[in-house]
Amino acid sequence: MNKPPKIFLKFFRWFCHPRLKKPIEGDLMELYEERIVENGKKNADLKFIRDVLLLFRPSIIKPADGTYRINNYGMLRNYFITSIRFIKREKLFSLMNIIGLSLGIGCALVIYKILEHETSFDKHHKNYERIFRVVNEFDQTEHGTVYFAGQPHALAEGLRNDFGIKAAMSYYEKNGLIVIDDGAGNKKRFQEKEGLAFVQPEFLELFDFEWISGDPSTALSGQGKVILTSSIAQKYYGLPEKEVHLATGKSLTLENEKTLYVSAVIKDLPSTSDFPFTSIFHYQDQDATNRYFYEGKSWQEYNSNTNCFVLLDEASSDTRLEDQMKEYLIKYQPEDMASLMELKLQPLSEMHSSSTVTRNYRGETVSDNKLIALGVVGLFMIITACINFVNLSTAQAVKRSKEVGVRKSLGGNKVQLVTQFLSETLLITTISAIAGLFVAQLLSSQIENIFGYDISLNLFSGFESLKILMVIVLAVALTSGMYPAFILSRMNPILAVKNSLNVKQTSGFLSLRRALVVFQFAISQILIIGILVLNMQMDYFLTKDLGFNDDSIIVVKLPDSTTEKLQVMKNNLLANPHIEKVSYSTSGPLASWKVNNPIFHPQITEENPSGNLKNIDEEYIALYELDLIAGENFTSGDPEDQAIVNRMTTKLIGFDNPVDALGESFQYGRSGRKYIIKGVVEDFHAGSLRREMDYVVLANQKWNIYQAAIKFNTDQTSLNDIKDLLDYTEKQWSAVYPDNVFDFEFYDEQLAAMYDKEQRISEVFKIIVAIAIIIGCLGLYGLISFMTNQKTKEIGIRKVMGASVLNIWNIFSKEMVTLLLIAFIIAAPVAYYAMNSWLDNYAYRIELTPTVFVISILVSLVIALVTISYRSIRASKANPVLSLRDE
Amino acid sequence: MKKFQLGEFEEVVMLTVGILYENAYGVSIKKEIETRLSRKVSVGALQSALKRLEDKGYLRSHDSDATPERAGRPKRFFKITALGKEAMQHSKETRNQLWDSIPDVALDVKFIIA
Repeated sequence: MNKPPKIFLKFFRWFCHPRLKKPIEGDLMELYEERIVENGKKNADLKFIRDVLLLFRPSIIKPADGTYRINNYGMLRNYFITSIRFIKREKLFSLMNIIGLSLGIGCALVIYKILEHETSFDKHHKNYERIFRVVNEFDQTEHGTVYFAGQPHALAEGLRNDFGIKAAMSYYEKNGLIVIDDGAGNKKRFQEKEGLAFVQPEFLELFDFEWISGDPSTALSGQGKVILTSSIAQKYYGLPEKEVHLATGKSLTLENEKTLYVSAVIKDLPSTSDFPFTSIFHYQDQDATNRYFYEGKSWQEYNSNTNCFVLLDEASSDTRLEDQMKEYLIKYQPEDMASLMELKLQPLSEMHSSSTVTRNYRGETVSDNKLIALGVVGLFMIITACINFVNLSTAQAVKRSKEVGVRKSLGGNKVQLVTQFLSETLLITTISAIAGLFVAQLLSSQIENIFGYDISLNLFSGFESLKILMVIVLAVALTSGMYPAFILSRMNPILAVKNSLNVKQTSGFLSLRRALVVFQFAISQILIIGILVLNMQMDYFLTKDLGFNDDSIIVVKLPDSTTEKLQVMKNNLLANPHIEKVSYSTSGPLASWKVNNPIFHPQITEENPSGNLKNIDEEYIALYELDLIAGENFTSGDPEDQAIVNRMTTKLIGFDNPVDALGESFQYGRSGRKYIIKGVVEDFHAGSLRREMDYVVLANQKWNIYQAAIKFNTDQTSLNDIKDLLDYTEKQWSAVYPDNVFDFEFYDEQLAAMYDKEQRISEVFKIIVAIAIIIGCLGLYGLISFMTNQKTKEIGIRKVMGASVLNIWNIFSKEMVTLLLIAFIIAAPVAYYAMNSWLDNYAYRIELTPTVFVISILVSLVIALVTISYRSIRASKANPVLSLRDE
Repeated sequence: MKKFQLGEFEEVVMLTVGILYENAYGVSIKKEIETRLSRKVSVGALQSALKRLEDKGYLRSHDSDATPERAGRPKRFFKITALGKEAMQHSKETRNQLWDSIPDVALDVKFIIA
């Protein structure tokens, strides 16, 4: 007998529905035989193949998983319908479940986005892995090893010449005055607070920018050129976004000194850039704004904003280069300097996250530890939300026992029941995830205000975020669905149908449910303690006596310190009776930056003590109300080799009694001058409270005068008067400096801004605490509902026997208080350890007092009792007849 | 009106099954349609139509004993069920009704010379 093509016959047998296989195959064979007789084998084969291929259609093909699929489909549909019905019937519970989960998921999403943002810094540069920043490693026996990123101006050129590698210097100047002259005599002035950068042309070869106009190879080929970002070009020249390229060739004036031409326009740098540049000038042009530039030839001038970047051939940190650089500095530096430090290479990837070199142009690094901590918090939020879900669902288990009983009696096995409850959880989680997106949207707008960067939550912008959401949904559904599913599927069908499930069967005193609530409470108590301590420390920062007065003082930067100009302005200002004092100095008593040099004196025992030098005038001490404890204040015409020091400094050079130090002289700076002590002031905080107090040297030289401090007499002034005073001050200031922008700050506000970081952490913390507490309350509510469900009969009997509402409320509260205390015992030491080590970051810190802990437990007690009261009072008010009669 | 769903090809298959009466199985139905209506019918189209009709309950089938000329495969014979008969009747009636409702003029095409 002839055989049809084997492969196709096999194919047919494989795909055909088993029920149809034999008769159809028979038909095919019959036709095949006939066709052979009629048209020969070849034709019959072809027709057979055609028939087989045409049979490959949905109604003939067997179902994917045999006939099982048909059953499962119906079952899954049933699960879905039951879940929807259940959600509809138990509206409150479902709502609580969804709220809890969506808060958790929303939080986790935002935290994920923050982590994503923080870890993607500078990755847009194609040389990302080959770029290194040169940092100095100082071995200081006393403070351990410290790192500085500031480098001398000549370093990059030296590295280029001596090692033949690509290297570039960059200098970031935060402040600058830009003047735009429109050619018709109108001048627009912009006092920029950030974004001015000065780089060597090689910098453009190392780092990538998106060029709108201009050419990277010529953009900084010589001095007098500047690259602007799109948004700053729009701001300076009033161009619409589409025409920013027209800025090319236009001019601007820097610090009223240099006129430069725009050579190129680039797109705004991404928010994940550690180079917050808006205008990029040629490195040599920085002499207009940096008084310590010295034509860029110096090997001794260190500035933390002057960095050096190198491009290596290999991605790995080239230790050979580091080794070679070890002895390198001796070539250019005096030996005592060179021997103190070593040059190290820091990969670009660490510039944003390093905890050792904490300076970059953005002003802050985010260490990996902090990111991990944030990730842990996110995980905690999800976990507490899951715990909640477990609590609420197991509390509902009793209500569903009949359903489980019926399903089991009808032959539903354990796996099927688990599948059912898991699919139900998946449904709720999916709904929560959608709600979570809204939560995340709300949170991110809060967080954006606090952190100042965009968290793009557009899930459809990238597959990545969608994937994360799906992973979260699946993980949450599995972790939170497993336990309730097992509890429910384990029930004894007979007891379940009879609705007489034994209480003991689903709970013991140390049941998982209670353990979970304890865990939740512990977390929220840790967070409450955390926020309390944080706020107390902030309060301490803002209210601590700094050793001087910062009230009613405004500070204004001085464009130059020509003695005559200053004198004129001072006289004019003091003509106003409401202006009490005017003082010119390097900076206020407490400032975010300082002039720092070592102090030398034969009696000094401390290793390399450095002094904070400020040049002041004779009004300074009176204006800031510093406490002069010995000697005299400066008077005009004093010689410039005199100094007023603080009490710590007199102790440093060996005098316990400040009076004895008067007339003593010491050397300031390695090659610096000698000062004779003329007066001593009481110690005051010259830097942030995070650090120890400085040795302070107040001198009266005429250089280094950057700032005017003006004290208003605010005894009988209203807000309007202050405005008038400010206007008056501005007028006098502008009369002296007509080409500059009057840019003032209130000194106390400037000081408060120094703790901006702590303030922001505290804001974020508040949000997290609020959410954690809400989730915790939901969990508690779940537990109390479970208990009241379980104890319906008990309450009924008690009421019949004469128990009052208060008695019954007491039963529930007692258990809650016990759980809370257990949670507190766990939370207190953890919180104590965590907050104590956080406070250790600060030289001036509060002590952890028992009050904090008492407050935290009281707060959580009140919250817990309020949460349970509604439910327990409702249970105790129920008519005992209703609960007792159904037996 | 949605009670009976019978497509055009399905109706042809049903009618043919009726014509063949005791001898309606895959190949015979195929041949019958091909000779009577002179149109090509593929095994796939026919078999899926048969399966659909069976799922709807218009046809029922039974397998015969295996015969040697079909490589030991059984024949599957089809019969019209009562429901199937009703469906065919319904389809015929609705069609007749529609036919009857057409006014004579509409079909009496004339060329009017103006």
